[in-house]
Amino acid sequence: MEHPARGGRLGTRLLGHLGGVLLVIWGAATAGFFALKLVPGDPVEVMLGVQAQVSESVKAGIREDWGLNDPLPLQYIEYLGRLVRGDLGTSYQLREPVLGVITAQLPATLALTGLAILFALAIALTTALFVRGVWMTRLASSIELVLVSSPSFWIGLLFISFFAYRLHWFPVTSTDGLAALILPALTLALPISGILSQVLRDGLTRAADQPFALTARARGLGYPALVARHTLRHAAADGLTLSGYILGSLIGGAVLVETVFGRPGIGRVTLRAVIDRDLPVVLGIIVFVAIAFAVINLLVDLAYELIDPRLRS
Amino acid sequence: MTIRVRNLTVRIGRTVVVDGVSFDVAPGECLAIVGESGSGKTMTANALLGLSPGQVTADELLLDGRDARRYRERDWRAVRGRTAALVSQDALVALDPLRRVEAEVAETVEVHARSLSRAEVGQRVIQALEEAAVSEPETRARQYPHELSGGLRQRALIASALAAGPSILIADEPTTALDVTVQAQILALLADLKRRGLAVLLISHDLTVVGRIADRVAVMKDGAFVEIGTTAEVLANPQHEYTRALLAAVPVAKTVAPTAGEVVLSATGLSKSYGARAAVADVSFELRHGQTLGIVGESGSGKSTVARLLLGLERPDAGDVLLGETPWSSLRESERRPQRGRIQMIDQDPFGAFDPRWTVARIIGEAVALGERSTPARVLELLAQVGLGEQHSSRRPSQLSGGQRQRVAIARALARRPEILICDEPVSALDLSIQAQALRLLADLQRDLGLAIVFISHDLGVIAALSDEILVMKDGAVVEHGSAGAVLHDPQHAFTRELLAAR
Amino acid sequence: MTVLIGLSTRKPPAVGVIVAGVFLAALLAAALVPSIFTSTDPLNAEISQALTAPSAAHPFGTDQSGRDVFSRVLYGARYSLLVGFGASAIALVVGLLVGLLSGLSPKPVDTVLGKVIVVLMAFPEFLLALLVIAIIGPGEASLVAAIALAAIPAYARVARSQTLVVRNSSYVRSATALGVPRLATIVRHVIPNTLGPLLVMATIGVGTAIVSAAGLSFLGLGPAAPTPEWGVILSEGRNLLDRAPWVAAFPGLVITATVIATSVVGRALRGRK
Repeated sequence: MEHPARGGRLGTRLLGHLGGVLLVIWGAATAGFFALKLVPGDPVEVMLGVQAQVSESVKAGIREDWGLNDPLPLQYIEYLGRLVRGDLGTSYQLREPVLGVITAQLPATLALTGLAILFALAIALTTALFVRGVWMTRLASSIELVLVSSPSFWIGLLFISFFAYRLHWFPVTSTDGLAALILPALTLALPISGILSQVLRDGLTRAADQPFALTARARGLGYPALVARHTLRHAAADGLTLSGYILGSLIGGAVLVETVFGRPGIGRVTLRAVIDRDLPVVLGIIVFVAIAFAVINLLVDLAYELIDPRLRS
Repeated sequence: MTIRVRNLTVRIGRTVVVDGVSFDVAPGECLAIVGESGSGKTMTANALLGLSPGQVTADELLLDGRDARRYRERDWRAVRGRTAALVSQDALVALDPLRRVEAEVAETVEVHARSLSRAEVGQRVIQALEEAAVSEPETRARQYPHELSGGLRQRALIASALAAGPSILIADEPTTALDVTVQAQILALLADLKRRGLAVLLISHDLTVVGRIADRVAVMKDGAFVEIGTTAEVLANPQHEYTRALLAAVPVAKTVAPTAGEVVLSATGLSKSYGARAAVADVSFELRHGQTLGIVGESGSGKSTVARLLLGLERPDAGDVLLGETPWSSLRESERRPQRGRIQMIDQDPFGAFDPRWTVARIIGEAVALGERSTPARVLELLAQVGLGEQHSSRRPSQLSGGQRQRVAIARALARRPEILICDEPVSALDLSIQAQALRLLADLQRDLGLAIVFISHDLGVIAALSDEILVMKDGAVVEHGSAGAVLHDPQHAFTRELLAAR
Repeated sequence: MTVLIGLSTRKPPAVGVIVAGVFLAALLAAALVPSIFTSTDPLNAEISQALTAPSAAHPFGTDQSGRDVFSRVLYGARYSLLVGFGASAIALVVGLLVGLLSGLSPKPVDTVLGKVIVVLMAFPEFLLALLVIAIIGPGEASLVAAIALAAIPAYARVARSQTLVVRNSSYVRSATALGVPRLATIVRHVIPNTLGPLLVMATIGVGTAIVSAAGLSFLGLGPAAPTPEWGVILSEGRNLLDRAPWVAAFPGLVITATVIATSVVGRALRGRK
């Protein structure tokens, strides 16, 4: 394989992926925009609240400022224009730029989800590699079934009740510091680790039944070497297929876990925005999540090609 | 003796899968174990590598002079690759598709010679690839298995087996996944390795493959050897009736001359391309009532595309198909549908050809109902024609054997009382002894019903058994076309000669 | 959340399936006629009995108002099951139609529809449900709509890929060669073979829909208190974790058991296909 040609193909593939990312973001932004236009009621009145004693002229002025009187296509174009410049609009309730609201809360959620992913990977890899034999596998499968079936916020409540109130190992309401992060991250990680370890274990078993595994064993490889050199990579490809689910579980779960543990973060922002019908924020979250997903999908696709050479060219 | 086995028995649970077999293989000798699927031949091979999933007992099991009966896993790991090496079927899946060829070949070396430096391992890899006659070994080593052709891949697999210098080579169906012409090359390589001193144990279901390089042959059935002797003896003068059945199952050219009838199907200048690739280029023929046209070619030659074009499942880019005098390929599907009863098909995959949820009765009933009122009597009549009975009609395809499923496919095809039958690799998925039965059935039906058959296969022996006329295809084009006798005994084109020589 | 289908190809043991089936049947009975299982009124608040631990009289204990948690959970079953079945059924039907349409359409239409489905699937279901509630407002009906809409892309994707597989399968090709009319092929072969995996998905989907509903109610977006919906009880339980952990523990346990039961039944169904 000549390298220059390979690089060129990599370049075109990247462009293709990038195009896909932009398409998803545009699709999400457009869908969100029109979906929110469907919300019944006048946005200004929603924003001000029912009790507000504000004159009609002031309301009209606000409408004008926000461009709400313009024809719909014009609003859409302006919206897209602002989006490209990185302006996600201004929150109705908080009177602040949406982008600022999101970025302010982002680090907390990132810390939470980052630690959760680490926990999930650690648990999944450990069980996948060390659980062997019929009885251990059945036990592990049962535990995983329970983990995957339980509402994550319920597990969080149980954790608080047990580890915080009963054993006093962890602080009850989390403020800062690693100790406060552990229980919420574990709560978020458990359902994911349940599925991930099952998929990895199945992947390892399936790969070990393939003809290439027989060839490898016929060369004199023992089981640990077989896993390290062969089946783990195949199982990793299987695990990658879960990345979409994992990301979705993390984002959706963050809303619940942050609420349960009283932590700041994107989850709480989203919840507040939904309850308050703070549409710019909701829209901003949609776009933001779309970007995150699209970028992650891009990275996952690249990872696939890295793992499986048959997908290249 | 490099391999010495006496009374080898393998049990899985209560079932005995290998029942007291004994054999020797000397250096520079090739012993072939021949049998159908389920005969226990692979189990025997696995036992010689300690990879058997069951319990292994033997009076003697000597590998390269050492007693292997009490080996534990650690001892076997020292043997595998170093004393005895395995070459499996289909390198596309027998090599790890995620790893480069050099990694796969080097692995054997790394396991058994840990002290070697990376450079030394690399040299050993190139050496092994050269031993396996891989062209441009440095380039090939950096490639992945899927980037190599079938033959090169198989050689790479053989190289990985040779890398640690074993004295025993166990080849389990090493050429089954390959095209006929490539098969011959790989077999030549194995013969060469044998001559250089390896003891080769060849496992195969294909007697022609065996005949080319084996010195001695053991015929295996239900876990035991029914016959063992030199290749010449066993093939020319088989003692056991099972061996005779296997040999007889190899099809021989048809001797009955057809009576010329009217033309029922004609193709003129058929062409079809997918994108830039021309799958079929300018194929023409005429098929007469009661005749069989055999279309033979390797995978990718375009023969299946021809089948689809003849059936009107795809539209040709150029050319025409006519049913008798009436146009066929130029019609719209709604116009074609009423006429479909005249031309029916039998597929390669009898399992996939049926809705998995339907019973046999319903499957055949649906076909009958398209042309006439469906009655249980008619369904049973069709089943009887193919040698099946009422007890089969309430079963699902998954509950039938491969041979029985193919019979149901034939019955379904006959339901609409067709004039023409298109058979696309109808026996390729069947065991050798079942193949013969299916072919005999088709021949009988043709004679009784006056069917015109287009028979498509990659197997020249099968084609020879049924065809009156033969069409040879390569890369989408017809390279030879003539009566069966002429094509088989006096081939004009080089490719046809290759195909015949490879048998 | 509907991804659970991919797991574990092993058929569950027959004992497990029977237990799961019995549990679900009992739940259904509780939803329809709660009074067979308990004589206590879920809304009956006896302050004197507040925050008592589980006992014979109150198997799940009592909450801060003195209401019997066990009967609240039983009466809450109807809300959760309604949302679970309703949302799954809607998502199944709509998803099947969309997937069928896409899979049977000419290639350009299918490619576009396919891309739309993929984009929609890029969103976490829970977030989509939240979004729908942002638009239509909280409430019980909103839960059904939100969860159904959020789940449709997943069903549509499976329906579409299954339709494509079936459409290109050997037996559909055989049917065409036999001369079976196109509509008959669709009705007799394509739809039944596409429906199979979707039904399995929907069975497990009932469980995951119930979890989603509980989550949304927990956040305050479902029916309002004092409705004994399971998520509402859990949110009440959150404030009582130090004093009365049973209020939160038991409803969650019932939810978990329900999801496990639907999962087991779903897998058993798939094994039979």
